[in-house]
Amino acid sequence: MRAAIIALVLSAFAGSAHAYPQFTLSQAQTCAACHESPSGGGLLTDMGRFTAEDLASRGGDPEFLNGAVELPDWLALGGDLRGALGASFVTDSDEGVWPLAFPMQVDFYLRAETRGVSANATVGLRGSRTYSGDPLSFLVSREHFLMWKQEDGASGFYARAGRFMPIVGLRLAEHTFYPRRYGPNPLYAETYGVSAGWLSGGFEAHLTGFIHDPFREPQEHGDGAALYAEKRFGTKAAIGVTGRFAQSDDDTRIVGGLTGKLWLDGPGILLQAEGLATQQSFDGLDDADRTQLIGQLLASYFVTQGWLLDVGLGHYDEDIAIAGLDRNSVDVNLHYFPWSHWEFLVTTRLQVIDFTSGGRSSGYGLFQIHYRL
Amino acid sequence: MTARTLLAGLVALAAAACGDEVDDRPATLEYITVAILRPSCGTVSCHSTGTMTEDLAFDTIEAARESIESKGLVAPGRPDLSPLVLVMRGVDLQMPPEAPLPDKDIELVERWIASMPEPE
Repeated sequence: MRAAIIALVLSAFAGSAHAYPQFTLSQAQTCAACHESPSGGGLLTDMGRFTAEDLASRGGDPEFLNGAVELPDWLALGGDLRGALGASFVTDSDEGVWPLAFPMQVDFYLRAETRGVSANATVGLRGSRTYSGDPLSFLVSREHFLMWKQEDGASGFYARAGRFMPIVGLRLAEHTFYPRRYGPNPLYAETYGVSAGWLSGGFEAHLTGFIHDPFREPQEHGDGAALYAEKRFGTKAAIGVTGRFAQSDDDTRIVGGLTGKLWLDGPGILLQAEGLATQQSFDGLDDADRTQLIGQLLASYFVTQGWLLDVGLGHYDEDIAIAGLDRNSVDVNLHYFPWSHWEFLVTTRLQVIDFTSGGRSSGYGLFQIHYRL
Repeated sequence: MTARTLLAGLVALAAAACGDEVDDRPATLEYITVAILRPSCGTVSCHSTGTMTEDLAFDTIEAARESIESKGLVAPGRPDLSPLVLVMRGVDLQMPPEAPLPDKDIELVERWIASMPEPE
């Protein structure tokens, strides 16, 4: 039974962070400046590799396999490998505190491009599972899509079709943050769809129409559309608006929200905030509609070369009409980038349910080692 | 936008947590599955119809019904004896393992089970 618990814990953490929006404002860039995908994550662009090298305290060749293999211009390969070690706890539980050690992320990326059109695919393992059947069920291709870009780089129009994560809000890397875990784009919520957008240093906008995955069990059960637009004001501030509609056989969800970013020159801190409201109605249950609120504030401090400290405050109210359904979190994450392909990361979380009445608490502390191919 | 504005927004969100003490949500499997079990338990990583961790799935109403019946997770009329409730309350096992459910959600599950007639 202990094995079953650990397996479930592993899966809750699996497939974690893959990108850092903390960098976008400071460089007046979008996610697509450093990542081939407008959603962020996955393969790095030339700019992304330069940033990885520049950020690391000891530098290092940022190219694929440290430059040991020279790829043709039309081909890009990469991957992310991540392991974790730590502990988790829940109060008022017989389980108390239990240790964790597991592979967190195994993703490989391929991109082939010619004349502005690229084929992109991600293949990996979907967390740590207790599959007893076909071993192939471990395998997952979270993203595979064809994309056209007007210009080589991070500006201009783009369009893509295939399987990817519809863009909503800040695209926070940590999937345990509430806007991801309880919001519209949780882990493995990639859908099939078509998307079009505009990218530039000062403004970006993305519109996606999507359907749930018809081939495998979906995380997102609905079909719908998503929108995100963000206006940046130099390297100091940005504000964004987002919306999403999804309808499944069981429910309809309408999400609206705002995002903001602010660079504080004095202390050298980047603040990011995201607030989402979700209106959910349930098929066949006329009086069961609920409104949910999700808020996240994240302060990021570049301590010194190669070191990044994040402090996050999160709030999630499952149903604002009923008391006692709120979750509140404090996250403290410390990143260390010693070389351009390596990251050492400590993530910690304390969560309290029903804050005003002092409900159950839970939390975790994880040490992660992340290697980018 | 200032830091004060950002903080004020977060405080406003927190203040909105003060809802009604009366929980009038439907105590039905259909509601509980879509509103609670699917997002907290029936994720693709855990108890989905594809993953089937511990041969359990809670991502669809039918899958939840089948899992509950086949594994005997509910003792009709007796939430205090129902494994589904016991794991949510952390008795022996804790589920979900690192993100426990609010008491109000567990109480809703208990009301649903209590509403079932006990077998003769």
